[in-house]
Amino acid sequence: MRRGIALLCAAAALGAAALLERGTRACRPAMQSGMERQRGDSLPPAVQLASTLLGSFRALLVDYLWIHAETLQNEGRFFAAAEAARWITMLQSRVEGSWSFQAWNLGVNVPSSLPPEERWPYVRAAVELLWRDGLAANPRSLGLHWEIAWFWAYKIGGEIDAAGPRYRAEVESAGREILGAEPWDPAAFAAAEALLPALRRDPAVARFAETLAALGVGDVEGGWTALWAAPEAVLGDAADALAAALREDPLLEAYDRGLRARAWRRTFGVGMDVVAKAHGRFGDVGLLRPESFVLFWARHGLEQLAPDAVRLDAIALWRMELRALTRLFQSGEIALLAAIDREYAEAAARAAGDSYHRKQEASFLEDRIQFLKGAIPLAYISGTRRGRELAEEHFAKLAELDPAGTPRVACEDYVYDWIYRKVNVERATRDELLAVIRAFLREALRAAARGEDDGARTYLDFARGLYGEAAAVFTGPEFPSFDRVAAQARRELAPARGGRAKGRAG
Amino acid sequence: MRSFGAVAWRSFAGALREPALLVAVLAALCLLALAPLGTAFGFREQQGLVRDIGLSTIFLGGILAAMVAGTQRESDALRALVMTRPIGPAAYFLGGLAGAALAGAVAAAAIACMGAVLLRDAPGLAFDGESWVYAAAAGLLALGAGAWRSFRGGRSFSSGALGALCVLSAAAACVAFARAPGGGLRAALSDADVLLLQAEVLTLCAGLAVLSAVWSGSMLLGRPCGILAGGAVIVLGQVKESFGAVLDAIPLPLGLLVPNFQLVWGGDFFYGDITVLPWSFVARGAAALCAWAAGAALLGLTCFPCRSGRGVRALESGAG
Repeated sequence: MRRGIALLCAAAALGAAALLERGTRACRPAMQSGMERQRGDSLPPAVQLASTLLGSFRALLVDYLWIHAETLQNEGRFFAAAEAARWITMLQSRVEGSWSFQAWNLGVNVPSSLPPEERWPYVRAAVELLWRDGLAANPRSLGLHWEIAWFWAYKIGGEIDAAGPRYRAEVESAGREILGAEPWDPAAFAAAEALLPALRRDPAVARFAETLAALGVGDVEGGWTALWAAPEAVLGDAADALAAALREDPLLEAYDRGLRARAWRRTFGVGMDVVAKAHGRFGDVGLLRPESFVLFWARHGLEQLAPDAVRLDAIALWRMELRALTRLFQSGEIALLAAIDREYAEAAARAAGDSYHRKQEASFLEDRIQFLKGAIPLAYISGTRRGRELAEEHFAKLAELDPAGTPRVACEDYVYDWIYRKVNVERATRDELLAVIRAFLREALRAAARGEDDGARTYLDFARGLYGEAAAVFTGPEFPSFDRVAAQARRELAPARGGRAKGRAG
Repeated sequence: MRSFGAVAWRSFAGALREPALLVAVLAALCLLALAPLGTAFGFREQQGLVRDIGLSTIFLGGILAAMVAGTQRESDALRALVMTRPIGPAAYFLGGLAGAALAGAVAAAAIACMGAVLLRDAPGLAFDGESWVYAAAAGLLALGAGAWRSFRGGRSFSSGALGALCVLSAAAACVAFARAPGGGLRAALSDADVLLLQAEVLTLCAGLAVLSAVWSGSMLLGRPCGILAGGAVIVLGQVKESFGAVLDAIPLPLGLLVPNFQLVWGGDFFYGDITVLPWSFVARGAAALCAWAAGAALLGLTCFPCRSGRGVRALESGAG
């Protein structure tokens, strides 16, 4: 009898413990802002166990491993250093610095010791290490977001590595396989991904998956993008009919998009919802360019920041974001001018509102002025009506922001003065010179269209002379021929699709 | 009830006299002093790292104390009590657990208070000289008190030193928390100190759950099994978050048998921007662990009379 009572009490106590555990889980502070904590969000079990049970020995072990890893790195034994760093990240997984160290070793040091064609797997592994493992242990770390953005901006998208073009080609190829045929709409991808569980329950989708399984597709969802990259190889004669069904049935099309969005998230770490938000905020910033990924990761990181909070690591991410936007702008995305100016203004305002980081306001304002000074001429000579409008609009803003440093002339005169200085005094970048050459060529075409042959010849001579100087400085196969530049200038003058005129001559 | 109290007191006194308990506490304190060494490569997370390592040392010290207290040998005084007075298995089992838990609490409190002194919110967390002075003074005075008691009264050095260590480390913690970093007195605890104390409370509750498992295992199947049961609870408790979904999928209520230490593990909260834990979380987490400890003890008690464990003498003596 007493034993029965004890057993009942034990059951009641264990039941109460389970109920209380559920309540504890519900009110546990979120480790990821805006996300409910899920099971498995914590560290891997072995790491958690080792971290806890080693006690202070963990401190000694970590110190030894750091010294060992540094020594190995200094000796140039990067693979061994990466292995030591892996242990450090296991024992010190909540410390951003250990992830940065390992990622640097894996993505910068190790590739530098390899021929260019063998480097990409290590660079990719470093980026994946940061988002797959580092961010899993430190989901709100802005520092790790910055590290990921750095890899995209400088290692993959920059010029510090001779294998950079290979990396970009790999990203482009993987991204195209995942996203399928253009056009790509991030918002549609994100919406379809959210609907995936419901879509799977739909009879038409289930039948389609069964058909694929019957045709010998082992892992239908896991190998989705690879399957549709070359469907004939697996599906044979049925490939065309199935592909047509995917295109025509709205449910199947959404299922396809959802799976592609999921594959995107698993490959690049950042979801289509973040991509859609970035596009919503800045405009079309592309999907597969390294700068696009910088923006996605910077946005993802800044979302972890409390509203109106200003921190040094957030400022670093803003700067990374602004750099990526500027690079996109310089490569021809002229419409970004307004977004970049707005971002500078917002960053300066946020810094001004924070007593500790108020000094950053002046720095952001200075950068904003410098950006506008360079961007206005590029927008003006872009050949589009919108570019010219943006340039004129922002020239007025520049005069407001920097009345002493902005000449009191018309925007056109300011632009030509800029061109003169760039060409004659300052060394222009390759993209700036090409933009100026195209501007002269467009003027030549316009003059010719008006029947002003002398004017056209003068502009053409300017363009040819400038091209000759530029080609002498920027030698190499990547520098376009004069004919290609001229063809691009002609395209820029051609009427846009849909009958809307593009450029001044439209 | 008198039997329960008598068993509890003798169990408590017996556990406190165990030299291994004092050794476990001193080892934990030495390890605690090593915690700041891990900060050399802590980068921006230095404070979080020191506290994380310190807390895991407190947990380690707590489970060592639980193992020692939960697997103590039956003292002569307890044996004499059992031989002279009829004591029921419930009084023997639960009284012994209460005594062991009290002894474990004294040891764990000494470690936790010393941890609070060394890990308190201070400008130079790793080399906060003032904290080290308080901790060293408390430790040395406690050992001196134990030695003096043993030398003058011929009483157990371990129990004297442990008792003094508990009181003095608590006093040192009070003084350390009352002192403001720049000198003078503090009106209230800083958020970082409150967070540390919250994490310590949850860690000590986890230690209680381990003690309960160790005690039940030890009483039913002997000391090695008690240690094994404690080890299993630690390992499973620390990884339950990762395999909890698997347990839930099994139609049997197996999830109830494993406490969840990972859910309330305070080391996670020292990083990032969490300032103070919600009190509802601390209260529920502590209550869940205490309820689990009670459940484990009662489950052990249910099986106790029918197994030939250490409690057999109570039955032989005619209790029941």
